[in-house]
Amino acid sequence: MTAIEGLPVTVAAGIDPTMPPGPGGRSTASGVATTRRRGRASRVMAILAIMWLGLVLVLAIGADLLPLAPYDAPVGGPRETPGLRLHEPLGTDAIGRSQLSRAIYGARVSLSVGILSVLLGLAAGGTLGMIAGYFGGKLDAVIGTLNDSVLAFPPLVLLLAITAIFRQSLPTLIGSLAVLSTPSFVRLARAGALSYKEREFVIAARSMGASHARILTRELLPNLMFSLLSYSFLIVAVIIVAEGSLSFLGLGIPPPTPSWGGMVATGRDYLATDPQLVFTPAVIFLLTVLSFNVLGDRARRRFDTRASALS
Amino acid sequence: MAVLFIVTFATMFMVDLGPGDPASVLLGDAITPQLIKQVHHDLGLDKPLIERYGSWVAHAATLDFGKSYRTKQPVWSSIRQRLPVTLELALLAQLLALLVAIPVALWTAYRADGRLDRLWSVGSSLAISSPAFVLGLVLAYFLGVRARWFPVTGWTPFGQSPLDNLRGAFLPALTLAVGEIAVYSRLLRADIIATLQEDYVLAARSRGLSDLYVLVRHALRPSSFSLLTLAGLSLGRLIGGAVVVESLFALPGVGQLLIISINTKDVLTVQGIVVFVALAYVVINATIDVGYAWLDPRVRGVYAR
Repeated sequence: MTAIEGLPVTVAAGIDPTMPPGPGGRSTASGVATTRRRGRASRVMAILAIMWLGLVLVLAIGADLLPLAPYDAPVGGPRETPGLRLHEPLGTDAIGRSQLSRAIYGARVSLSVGILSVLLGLAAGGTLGMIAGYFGGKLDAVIGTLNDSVLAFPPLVLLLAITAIFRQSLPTLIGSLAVLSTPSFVRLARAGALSYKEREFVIAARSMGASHARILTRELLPNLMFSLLSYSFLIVAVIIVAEGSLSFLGLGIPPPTPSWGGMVATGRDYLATDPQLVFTPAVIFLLTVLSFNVLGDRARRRFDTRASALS
Repeated sequence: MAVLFIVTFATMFMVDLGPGDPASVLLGDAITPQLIKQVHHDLGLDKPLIERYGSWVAHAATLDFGKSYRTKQPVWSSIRQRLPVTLELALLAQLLALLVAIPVALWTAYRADGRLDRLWSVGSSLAISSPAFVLGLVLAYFLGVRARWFPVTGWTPFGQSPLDNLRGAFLPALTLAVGEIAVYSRLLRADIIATLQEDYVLAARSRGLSDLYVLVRHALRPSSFSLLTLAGLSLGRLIGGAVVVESLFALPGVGQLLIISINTKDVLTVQGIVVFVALAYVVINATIDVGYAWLDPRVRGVYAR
């Protein structure tokens, strides 16, 4: 089945391929100036993205140390509006629970689920892809077929199918999202391994009697790691969106554990009267995904010399 | 072919993978040993795996996915009932996306690094990062609740009132389209910029043809192949997005059926939808693969007529 072969890995995984927006053709005098201006703008964006992610990460990790209200008990009246005050600056949700504390504990879920499942996908996909690319032949065909089978499902539908089978829980969620993120890494690692395996340093290692395992881990892996890792940022963004969508549909982490998608979903009923219930978590969510995309774009442009292998 | 086999096999196996006996899930509280046996027989669970697969595929090939234990309705008929809604959404979104993306791409490529181009590059990053459920609610709030231009929920069948139908479908379709617009316009912009460097564009300009004419007649066509491929491929993404959007705007589409079935543990319906969508997706991708070679004249070896 070659139908899916020709498709860019990003699209296959349901990712919006964020094309580097830089100017395409030959650079002219004015093109150089604007490229520099674009470069500065993108650097500012990247710094803002790092700051935002750092803030979210620190809050999520340190949530237990912060003087936060409990996320599962009311702390005030329902639907208090956000305001510039020390007490509950983000207001309260439909039954009076602290939005701030729910957002922070929600960050914990979104980030840990996103990062963990992408790391799992990276490990599984990277290993399979390297093996497929390095050994080729039947092994490559089998892995390729399995990969195409996963890609044959629209991502969200696959996710929903897995959720339909298993009980809703954190491990299930992480596992299914890892499955979702694996194929991209398989393709990336396979393309990388293919391009490196005939290079001199690999041949040198082989002629010195290095075993396959040693070549894979000591020669190929260090070369592939950067492009895989830089690509991970983009995948994390996709996975966080998938997790959010699932929680929004009520099929993610079961309540009362807060998640951003779940917060948006519960706020939806009050859209007409209290839109802040939707907009507060939505903005946080959006900024986080945007930050991952910005950083991912930058990282990929910097490290991934083999971007062409993707399409 | 192997992919088709694995996809169908995995979907069929779905029923077995769940925790506990599928019969107990299907029957819920009203459970007796006799009923379990009955259900096992109905589902064919008492037969060997290969035989089960064979008969399941044979039935599925004729679109017979069994009967839902919840509604007692054949699964295919409930899918077919809801299919038009999802298809209309996907097509409308696709249309909207292309209608917006092409002019924008032409302009941003023509005035690359101009004010609008830089604005658009930020705006499209934002659009790419916003998931359907956030975007849908934002649009519903501003265009539906505040401005009251469009209804926020509900669906009017096209036959009943075409105008109301389109009004109701607009917000969900727009929600689906925004992400596509961003991706399409970026892709097309990059391709047009590359095409504008070609000598024949310079030749056309030097002949005194207007910029607009050169852009549309000379640059757009050769630049649009990768866009068309992407547009075809994104149908799968639109189907996935439709699940969220249908649930968000309470539209009676296939996606909503999927969510309802998952929530009511209606395994057979879930199975039917999943295999239907996956097969449709595979067929679309295969068609595009063939279509691409047919569309791109370079693949055929004859340059654009």
